[in-house]
Order: sequence, then structure tokens, then C-alpha cells
Amino acid sequence: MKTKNLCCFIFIFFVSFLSYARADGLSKDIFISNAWVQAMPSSQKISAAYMVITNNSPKEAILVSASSDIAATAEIHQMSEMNGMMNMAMAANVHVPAQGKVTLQPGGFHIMLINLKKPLNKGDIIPITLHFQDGSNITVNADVRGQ
Amino acid sequence: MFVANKIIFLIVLLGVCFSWVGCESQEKTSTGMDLGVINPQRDFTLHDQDGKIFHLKDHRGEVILLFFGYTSCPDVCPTTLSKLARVYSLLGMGTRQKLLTLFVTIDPQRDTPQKLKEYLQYFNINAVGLSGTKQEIDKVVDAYKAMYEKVDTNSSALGYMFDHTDYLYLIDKEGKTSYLFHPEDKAQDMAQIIKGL
Repeated sequence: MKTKNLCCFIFIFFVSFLSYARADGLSKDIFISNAWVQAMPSSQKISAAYMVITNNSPKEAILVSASSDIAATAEIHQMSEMNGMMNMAMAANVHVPAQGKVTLQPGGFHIMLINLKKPLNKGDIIPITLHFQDGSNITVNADVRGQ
Repeated sequence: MFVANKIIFLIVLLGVCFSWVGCESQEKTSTGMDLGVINPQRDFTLHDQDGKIFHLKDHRGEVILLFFGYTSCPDVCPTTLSKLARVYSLLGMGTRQKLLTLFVTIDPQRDTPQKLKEYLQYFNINAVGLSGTKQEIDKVVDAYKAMYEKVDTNSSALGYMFDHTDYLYLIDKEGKTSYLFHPEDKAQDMAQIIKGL
């Protein structure tokens, strides 16, 4: 029983670690958590990635782009309500305030994964690299969630 | 002194009355917007994902969830359909079988019947994809006072996209739109309202 509990603990710890990443370089104080990608039918060539970016440094961090091996293109987009409709537009960057955080979530900022190279199935782990203005990069493993 | 007290009492009483009236004129529940009986039946005819003609009026006796979207929609549509999957899972078998989701595409150019079918099957809900000519679709969009607008995104690899309204219309068994659900409405609350129809 104890062995079973220990195995469960190790598994949960490992899964948590997969969706959690820490930066190298100048953005050592930036942490990414709860990174996930919307699972989509195999016919769909796009999806969106969401996460929480926490900046523990005394300086603002600016996310300027993203990339992933899973998609030909990754773009930062933002949803907003405009004239009673939901509008999606490319965003040049995402400002993460000093000692603050920004949540990329449905209906707000997200990373569009365009021209997917393979279907995204629930449970898959997708690496996404975030590029910040100071030249630092963070690679996060996002889990694919959905039906 | 007595007169002053009386005036203050009257002012407070009026304030309470006005706030009561204000509350009464708002939505009846915290979930969705209760449209009551002011909405007439808005029947329409489109083509379903199997190429057959679909008449809304043939579905009296079923509860309908109506949504306007498109399969290349990257955020709003999959989020809404994923939430609907949770709504379905919260319903008993009887209610689930009588709940039909209609996904009307606003992108007939890209959304072929086959694409609609495959897309909706993925979300594992009782859903039918509907399409037609742009004019036919626009007629339904107008009837439900929904909106959409094609947006060319030259700077993005996505090509064109659509701005669109993100409501879910709940149509009762008599064909009347009784609720308008918003994206912030929780699956559990939506399921509760659907069970009540």
C-alpha cells in the first residue's frame, strides 16, 4: 500500500513538473505554470496554448514571440469584445509586470499554434518556447487537454 | 423635528422602492439571460452535415442549443463546445437525448459538411452542423440578432478569421428562445436550467 502511495506521489510530482518550467538567462525569475493546449479534432490545423506567466523579478518582462516544433507558426493573439462580438487579433507582445503575473486564458491572451504538424490528442505533452524581449527563452511542456 | 424625521423616512422608503424595481427589471437568474415569453419562434431551414434539409420546426419537443461559429475558430468555439460536453455529462440520459446542439457555421466557404461532422463528433455531444449559402446563413443570424464579421488578417498565418457573437441560445420544446447563455456561465448552472425545461 505504501509503495502504491509513493508511486502515486512520484507520478503526480512528475506530471506537475511537466507543465512547469523555469527560465535560463536573464529571466531566471520567470515561472510558467498550468500550461495547456486545447485538444482539437485531427482535421484541425490550429489550436491555442494557455498558461500563467509569473514574473518574480523587480523588472517588467515582455513576451515577444513563441515557437513550437508541433506547429509551423506560433503567434501571440488576444481576444477582446468589440462591438458586441469577440474579436481576435495578433498581439505584438505581452507585458508581465514586475512581481506580477499574466494569465493566458480562453477569451484573453493566448498563443496560436498554426498549421499543426500532427494531431493533438488529449494527454500529449507539447513543448512551447517563449521568447522574451531581453533575449531569454523559456521552454515549457504544455499538456493537451480536451475531450 | 417630527416633520424632519417623517421626510427622512419617506426618502428612505422611496429609495428602497426604487432599488426593488431595479432588481426586478434585471435577469431572473445569475446564469444566462431569461428571455421570458417576449421571443417568438424563429424557424429556419438550412442544410445539415449529411447534406439533408434541416427544418427547426421539425424538432419541436426537443430542447435546442444554438450556436453560431466556425470550425477554424481557435478560441471561442472549441471552448464553448468543450463546456457543452461538460453540460451534457451533467444531464441524465433522458434530458441528454432530448438536447440537440445546432452549430451554424458562419464560414460555409471552408466548413464543408464533412468537416463540420468530424469537428462536432470530436466533442462527443448530440450536435448537428448546419450550413447553407451566405444569404441563407445571414437570414438565420439576423433572425437571432447574432452578428459576425469576416476579418482579413494579412499579418497572421491564419488567413481570414471571424469576429462573432459568442452566445448560446436555448430554445425550448415549443421552439421559443427562452435563454441566452454567455461564455462566463458555468456548465453546472446551465445544466440546471436545461433540466428545468
